[in-house]
Amino acid sequence: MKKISAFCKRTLTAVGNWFKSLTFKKIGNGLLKAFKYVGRKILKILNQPVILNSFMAILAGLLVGFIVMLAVSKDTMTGQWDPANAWAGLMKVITGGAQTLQSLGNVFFKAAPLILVGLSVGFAFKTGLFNIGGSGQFMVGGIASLYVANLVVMPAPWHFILAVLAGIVAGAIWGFIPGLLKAFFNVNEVITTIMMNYIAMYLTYMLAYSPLVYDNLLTSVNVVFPTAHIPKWGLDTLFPRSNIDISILIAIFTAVVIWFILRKTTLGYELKAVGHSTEGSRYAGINYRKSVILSMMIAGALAGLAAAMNYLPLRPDYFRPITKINAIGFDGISIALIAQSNPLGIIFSGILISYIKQGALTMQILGFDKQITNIVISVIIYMIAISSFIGTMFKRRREKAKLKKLLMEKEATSDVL
Amino acid sequence: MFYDNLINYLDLVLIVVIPLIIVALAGMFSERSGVVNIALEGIMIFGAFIGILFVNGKFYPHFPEVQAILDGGGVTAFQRAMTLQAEMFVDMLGPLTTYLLGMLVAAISGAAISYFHAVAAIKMQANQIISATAINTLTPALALFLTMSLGLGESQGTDKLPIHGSVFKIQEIPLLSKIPFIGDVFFTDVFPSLYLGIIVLIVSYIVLYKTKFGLRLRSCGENPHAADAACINIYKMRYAGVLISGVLAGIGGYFFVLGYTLEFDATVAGYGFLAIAVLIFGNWKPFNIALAAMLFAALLTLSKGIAFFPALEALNIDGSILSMLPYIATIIVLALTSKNSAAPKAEGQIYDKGER
Repeated sequence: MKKISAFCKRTLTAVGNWFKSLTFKKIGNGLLKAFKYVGRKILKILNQPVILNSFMAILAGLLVGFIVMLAVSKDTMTGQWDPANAWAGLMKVITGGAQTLQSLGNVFFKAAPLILVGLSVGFAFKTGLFNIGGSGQFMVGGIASLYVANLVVMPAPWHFILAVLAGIVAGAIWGFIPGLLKAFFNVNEVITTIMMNYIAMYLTYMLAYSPLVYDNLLTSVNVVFPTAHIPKWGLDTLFPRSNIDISILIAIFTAVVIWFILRKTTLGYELKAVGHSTEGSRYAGINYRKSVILSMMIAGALAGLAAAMNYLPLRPDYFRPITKINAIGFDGISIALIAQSNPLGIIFSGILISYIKQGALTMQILGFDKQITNIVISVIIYMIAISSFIGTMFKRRREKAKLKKLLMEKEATSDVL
Repeated sequence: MFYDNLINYLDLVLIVVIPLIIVALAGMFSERSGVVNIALEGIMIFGAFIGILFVNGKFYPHFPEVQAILDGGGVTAFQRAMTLQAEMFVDMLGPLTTYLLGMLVAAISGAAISYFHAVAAIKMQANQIISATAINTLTPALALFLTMSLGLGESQGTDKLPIHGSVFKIQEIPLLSKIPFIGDVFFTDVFPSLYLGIIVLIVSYIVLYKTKFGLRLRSCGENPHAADAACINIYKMRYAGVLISGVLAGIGGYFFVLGYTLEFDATVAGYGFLAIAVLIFGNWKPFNIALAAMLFAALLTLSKGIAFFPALEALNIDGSILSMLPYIATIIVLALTSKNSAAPKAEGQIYDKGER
């Protein structure tokens, strides 16, 4: 890390000096200062152990994914064991997302719901709650927005807004119940949110099969509702032939809003205080019950918004009635963990996971199942769980080595004496 | 007619109740030692996956007849060959031996995967819920990935494993099956898991309450610092707790899948999480857990078993609503019982020797 920072400093000074050598010396000086300031800020962020941990965890995840692929890699034609294929697969995972502008656009397109679910989990984390119910809130939110999109007749922008609102409200309700139980009955939200996932699964199964919205040909909920699709605002000209729309902008905007709420408002402070110490916040006169319920509702609302972003686009995910829990809630957990629940960090980790997923899709032609992403994600989660211990372990080892060296030196000098 | 229906329904309940008890006991051992284990679902899946592979004869070289069919080629031949391989494997060892060996394999694989949770939760001082979530994400993905990439599925290109559970059923036990009603329910046409589950329940009770080991385990979950002062190795006891939990959860998953479905697609329908609810409702005590599991199982089988009760079926309730019931009931039960729960005091807390 130190080497990197020294290197950065040197290049920054060099760039600054170059500007200085220009005739506008004053501007050069100003720019030098600005560069130094920005560089110092970036270094400060990069030097945090948190970021290093996340990077290491991601690397470890990719490594384990590679080992698993190596074990099963086969030549697509002959069926013989072929390690080169695994390497090609890994390269596809790493580069597949950025091969063309189209795939890059799709990375951003798919990232929007992931970022929002990550925010849902991350927000709950920040307020001391563990929201495993992201999946359930997502499914309920999705079916609510699809119902509004399919059944309500309205002019264009309002129809879309109403459908999104429906998703948000449904998600919030699904978060409200575990919050209520936690606040008044002290039931662990981990269990209740898991149970809510299963209830949501059967509920949405029933609702999706309803003749009101079900389309026999698509074997999914009807997806043709011209006035409720997410607008594109010309982003598709930027990334031609991709599915990108403004959902990614909405996701980024929401992340900033959540960051603002948590960092700069009294409400955010109270919610975090409750998460930090229940008793302490009670003593400080914060309404504990209200805070818990509110945080769960906001978390649910974010997951509901994610669902709207997932199911309302022109070419959406199909909402099929199946009795399987949508795995996006668990993706959200890993996204929140990678970013250590920092809302602004979640933007990047969400895009990263979306990128890996896109790469895994391109890898399928080599005969690997796309489940490899979930293996990588689970290893990342695990590594982050144990990362702080490993960090302290390395620190201790370094200190020990230092101490040993000191002792040795002392002994050496004492020998001379 | 009603009698037959009742017997059928109870058979269905028994298939569900035994895995629930075993997995809830798995959770009990872990939580009593002070480690929260919501990875039960993932461990169940892994145990079931490896166990089913074993029972299907995937770890045994192809029989010559099977190889002959495979050499013949063709898409349908693959499926036929795999079915034959499974049948011949069971014939070779005998159903009961295969069943028990499969159980052993499931137990070992369950312990192996739970070891990761143990290391993270005990040695690495990680957040126990996060490391468990990692395992819950890993195992279904790993199972599906391996099935797809290694072509273990029932036919090429599917991620579903075929399950031939009914061959392992014990037709009837002589003499005992002649007892009216009880004989019909407990001693005819049942899985060996029924008896094994009852044995596990009793042994768990004895281990937890009548042995030195059990006392030490419980003390680790209640007050680890005091236990440490009494020269008990907390880390060792917690490792033991989590590994026993892995063994039992692996077995539970294996029993569940063999009895419950005809295809395994890397899911145990949330029974790992339900088992945790059973554990909480059963107040972390073996026989209470058994009672709680029976109640849950009766609810869980309602949507499947409603066909056996014409009077209820006539009400024409949507199947989805019936399927939702156990989960709703869990939430209500948890809300009502949370006030007087006897959870282990140090549950979920990281034990650090240097603390205090």
